[in-house]
Amino acid sequence: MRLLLVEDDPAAAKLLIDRLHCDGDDVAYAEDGESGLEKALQDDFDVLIIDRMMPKLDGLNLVRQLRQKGIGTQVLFLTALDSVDDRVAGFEAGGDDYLVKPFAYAELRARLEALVRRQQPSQETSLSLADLTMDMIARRVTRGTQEIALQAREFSLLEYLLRHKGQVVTRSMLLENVWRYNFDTQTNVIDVHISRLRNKLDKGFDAPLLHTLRGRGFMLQSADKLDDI
Amino acid sequence: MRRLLRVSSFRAVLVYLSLFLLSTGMVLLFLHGQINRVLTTNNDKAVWRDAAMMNQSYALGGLPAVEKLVAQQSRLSGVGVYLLADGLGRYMAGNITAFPAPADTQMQEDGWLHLRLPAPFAEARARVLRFDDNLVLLIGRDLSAQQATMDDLARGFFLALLFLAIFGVIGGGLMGRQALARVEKINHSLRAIMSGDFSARIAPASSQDEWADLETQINQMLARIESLMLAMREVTDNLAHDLRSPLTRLRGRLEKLALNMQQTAQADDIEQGLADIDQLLSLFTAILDLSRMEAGSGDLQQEPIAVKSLVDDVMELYQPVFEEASWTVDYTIDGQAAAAQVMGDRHLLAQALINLLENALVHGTGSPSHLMLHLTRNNGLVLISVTDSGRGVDADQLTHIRQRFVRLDESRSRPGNGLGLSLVDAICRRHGGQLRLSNHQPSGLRTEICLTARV
Repeated sequence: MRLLLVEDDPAAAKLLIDRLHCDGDDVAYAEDGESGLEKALQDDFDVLIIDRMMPKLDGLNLVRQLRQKGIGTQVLFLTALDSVDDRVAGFEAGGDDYLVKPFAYAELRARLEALVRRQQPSQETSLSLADLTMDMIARRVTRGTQEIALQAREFSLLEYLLRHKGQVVTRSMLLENVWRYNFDTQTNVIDVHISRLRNKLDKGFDAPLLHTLRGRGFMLQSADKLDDI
Repeated sequence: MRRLLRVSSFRAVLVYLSLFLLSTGMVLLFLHGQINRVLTTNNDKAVWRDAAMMNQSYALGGLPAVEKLVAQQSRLSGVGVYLLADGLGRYMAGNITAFPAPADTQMQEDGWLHLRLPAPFAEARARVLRFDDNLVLLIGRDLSAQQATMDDLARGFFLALLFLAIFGVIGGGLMGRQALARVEKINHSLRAIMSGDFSARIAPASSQDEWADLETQINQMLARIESLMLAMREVTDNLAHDLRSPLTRLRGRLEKLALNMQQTAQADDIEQGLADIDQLLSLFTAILDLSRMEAGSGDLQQEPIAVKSLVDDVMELYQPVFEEASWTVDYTIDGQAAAAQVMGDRHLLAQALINLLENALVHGTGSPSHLMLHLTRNNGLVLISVTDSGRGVDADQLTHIRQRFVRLDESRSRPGNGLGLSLVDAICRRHGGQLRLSNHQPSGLRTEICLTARV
């Protein structure tokens, strides 16, 4: 991935860049909003990671200016501002995702992957993985020859996982995108729903599709490709 | 009209008007009585003059002279009533033919007779003269003219009072409406501010009266509040930034260490360190959320919310969690509550309910564990109650547990930061509602979100 990180804390930026390099990403860095804007205008990036509170030009205005100039690169806000208002302001300015500091690297990684994937249009009438097929129009899910009966929310959950098949999906991504809540829960609420879905998807089949990755999240992937992760 | 009646100036006008009408009415009543008395006195004088004339005529000419005079007066006078009769009461002269029956005759305290007479007369005030030879002469005055005058006068007085009342009420209403409009203007701005728009101000009036003074004062107060809110917002934002930045670096460093240290004992320590950071952070986030909520800063989304669908959504998320933990769940919706709506922020209210549910999950286990979730509507209130099956809370601690950082397990070993109920309480109050806490019989804590139903 080609990434641009705009962040006014050099120490934090260095740690993050090292980590991204380790995962094979190509990362450009800007220390303030103005030079960030310059770099974003000069080069093509897959995702811009932008801090909100910065000297010279704050993150919101940076993204507004980019959008005005017709640049639609995916933007992930990285911010210390966590209130709902701040979040809404971030999306209104043209941000695509919002991550509050400090964050687990795995969370950032998962969201970056999701953003890159989102650039491809997703107007399919059916989604599939291995022998699992989801018919978006009839709202039917089958695995092999067997139909799987899902409740409405289970359907949305599976749809989100299928759209991000092969990617790590975190608990907070699911809570935000499937249930539309964005606060921490103290309980293992998402795990319970995943385990119920797994019961319906994988029970009685040899090759499991829905995997839990400890400390990272969940992934829908056929078993034979799982080694690549 | 009911709204107008609530305006103090209009009520003052009404009270003043009633007092004014009452006193004016009493003056007019007194006047009416006085005029009646004057007219009666004049009548009486005329009767006395007649009587004197009759006596004189009897003294000079005896019965024939009186008889003649009576006949003459009867013809000439329109209002005089005369009857001359012999000792047996038989008619001799006059314009009535017989004494009225005893039922039509009334002796009054001042010695005058009040008579009811046949047409063309109606009522009369009269005296009886007795001459020698058993002659009796009744002299009186018909009262119908006087009564008609008094009736006219009374009608006039009444109309005057009526006009006073009508103009008074209309004038008071106009004054009241003007006051109401000014108050409404102030209320409108204040409502906007209460819902979180701290930049709202009362539009300045062109007039230079006490209302304009009040508006200026309120505007100055609002400006002060706004600057305080902004300062508070800046402090929390800076605090958030200054605390989160080092935590971000710390977390990054720990993650980097963990990466190079797979499968060793130290990796576990680092893992634990990361968990500690996350716990610290969630506590910090909770404190910030709570402070913001209690200070009422930030915009509160004000949209109509169907409470049932909000609770349904949350339960759809949480019911499996309870079932997985072997709880039985009893979720009921009162018939009236099914369509109930409240105004507010869906996200915050969902968070409040989730806090109560997670609170029940952590602190409310029993044997067996049982959750009751009721949605009811009562007297304009929408109530979402969550009852667990735990030990409940000592009565003296019920008011205590909604305060910040209060945790009843002294060891503080169970998860939680003691801010959950405080946040629910703050969210409820921010929505103009409240959080009610009570013990459930035979056991369990009952927490209840009370909100005003949207009409």
